[in-house]
Amino acid sequence: MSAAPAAAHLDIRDVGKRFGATTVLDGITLSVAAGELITLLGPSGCGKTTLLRAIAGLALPDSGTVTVAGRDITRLPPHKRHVGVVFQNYALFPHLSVRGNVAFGLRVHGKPKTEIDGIVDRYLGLVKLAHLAERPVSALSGGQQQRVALARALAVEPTIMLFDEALSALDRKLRESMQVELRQLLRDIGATAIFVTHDQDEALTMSDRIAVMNGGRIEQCADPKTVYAAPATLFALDFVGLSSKLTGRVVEVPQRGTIIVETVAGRLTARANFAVGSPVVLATRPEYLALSDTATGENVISGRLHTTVFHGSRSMLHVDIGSGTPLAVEISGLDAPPAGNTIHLRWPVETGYVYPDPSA
Amino acid sequence: MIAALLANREKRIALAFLAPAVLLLLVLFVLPLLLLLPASIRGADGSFTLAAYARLLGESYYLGIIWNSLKFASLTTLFAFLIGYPAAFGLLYARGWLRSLLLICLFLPLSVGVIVKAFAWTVLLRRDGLVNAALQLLGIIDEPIRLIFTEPALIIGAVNIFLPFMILPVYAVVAQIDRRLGEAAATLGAPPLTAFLRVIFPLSLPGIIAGTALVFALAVSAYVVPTLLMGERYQTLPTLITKAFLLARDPAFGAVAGMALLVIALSVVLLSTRLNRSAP
Repeated sequence: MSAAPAAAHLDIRDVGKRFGATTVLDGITLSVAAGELITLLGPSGCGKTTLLRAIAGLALPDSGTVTVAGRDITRLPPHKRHVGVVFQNYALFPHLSVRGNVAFGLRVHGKPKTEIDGIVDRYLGLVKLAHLAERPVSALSGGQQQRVALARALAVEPTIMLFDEALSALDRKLRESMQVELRQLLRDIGATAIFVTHDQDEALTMSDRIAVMNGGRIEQCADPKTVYAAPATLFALDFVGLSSKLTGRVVEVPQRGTIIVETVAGRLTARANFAVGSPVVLATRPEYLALSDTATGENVISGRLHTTVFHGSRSMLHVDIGSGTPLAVEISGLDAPPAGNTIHLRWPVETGYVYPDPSA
Repeated sequence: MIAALLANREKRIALAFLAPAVLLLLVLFVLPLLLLLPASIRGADGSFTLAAYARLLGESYYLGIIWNSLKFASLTTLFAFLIGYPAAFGLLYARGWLRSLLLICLFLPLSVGVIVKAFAWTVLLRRDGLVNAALQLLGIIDEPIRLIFTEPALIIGAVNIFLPFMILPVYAVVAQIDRRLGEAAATLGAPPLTAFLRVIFPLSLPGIIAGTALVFALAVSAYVVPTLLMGERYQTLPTLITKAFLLARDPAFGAVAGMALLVIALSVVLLSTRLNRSAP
């Protein structure tokens, strides 16, 4: 886990939560700086939504503390927190107009009517919905409803914005454009935001840091490039991006930090600290594997090209190297050799990862 | 209008599905009602007269009966709402077997029949009944008090009998309200009561309107409940109608009282449809 940023705006310490016999949050610690955009990324059931609800006050943690700007809010009810939430299906008030929805929080806070209209207009303008202010929310498209939910949450100027799978109900094209737009908007107003998603693309696009969650724990919390290029755990590797993996056993430690692993494809060198005899998983990204002209040389493995999937600019090769699961190799789109051929691959030393083998 | 309806395929199909119900209502309900109208303006010699109307609306005794009916139905509806509305939420928040049990408790009495339930109340409320015995045992009263044949007893019995007709429509509507709406309101700064008043209550209005209309219509037309719990002296429109037809042999007056009941029931139904249309 990465070090806490200098000025932690939101500080989550050792937050735990159980539902019956299930541990949903297993001692989560996470610091978020003011103005930072963080994504909680993980599969359903990993605890990300529960953590979000604990920050919003919609679920009370069993242990640990949640602090915002130095103030302990762990036990504070949600209406006293000033934490904005954009819900998965937006949770717009169906009996109110677009304006009524955005004005809701302002009215509750007792702002004078004359002020409310101005603020509502400003935020509707910000999400480009000023022209639909008087419509009932049911008359809006999914993307427009999403914007209303955003404007409604922003209008009360919360200290933190939380997004619970807020973009997942949109179709792909709209989602992608909303990702860029939303990130820019949050940047412009200097919001501190936490996104919860199971969509790795969303996480990579939107956030300054990604917290990869699994089984109620944060497996890795780092900037998107680090999470992609240096996944801390096998789970983080599998969950973000594609991977190619080989299992093996450490047979030699020629020097500290370097190991030689015996695999079905032969002996491969990797950078890691493991004792001789340790069962390990060697992994890399498909695009880090390069085609080699010869079968000899350091870290070159050979296999039969099983299938090629052409993606235009890229091609994905599935190479049978005798391990059962074909190895994925990504190369430039038009360079693929014919299927059935024996091909040679150079396994990267510096961009290869080694993890303890969980099945051993 | 019918030709226009038949022109549209979807409407034709809808009409076909509705036909059996519509026919049944036409023959068994609308036709007898239409026969009431001529009966209400026919004198003993068969000539046209509005004398029966003049009697019902002109004599304070009969106006008192109309007032009784309205008061009984209104109070029953009010208390059914005050008890049934929170109960619907209780049902909503109950989980698993508890909810099943509560729903059974709600549906089972509907199959018992109103006469049995009304009689059960007379047994509970009479001088040597369970309620008096319990009150004496607890030392709250020394002597048995008169419970049955009092208006509070009538309202209690009626509320008990008609309560499911308030709870079920309200429950059906509030069960459809997305729970996240309450959470959204809270995160926007609304304390629980504010969130309820500004979000949950307005969204539950269709259920309240339906439940109110149902209970009011049932109560204003109830015959068995007031008869058994208040006795012969207490008169409402339904008991008046029965007496006019069966005892006084005055079909014209019975028909007029029937028309009055119909007007009241229709106004409630029309009002509730109208309110429902303007509700969310």
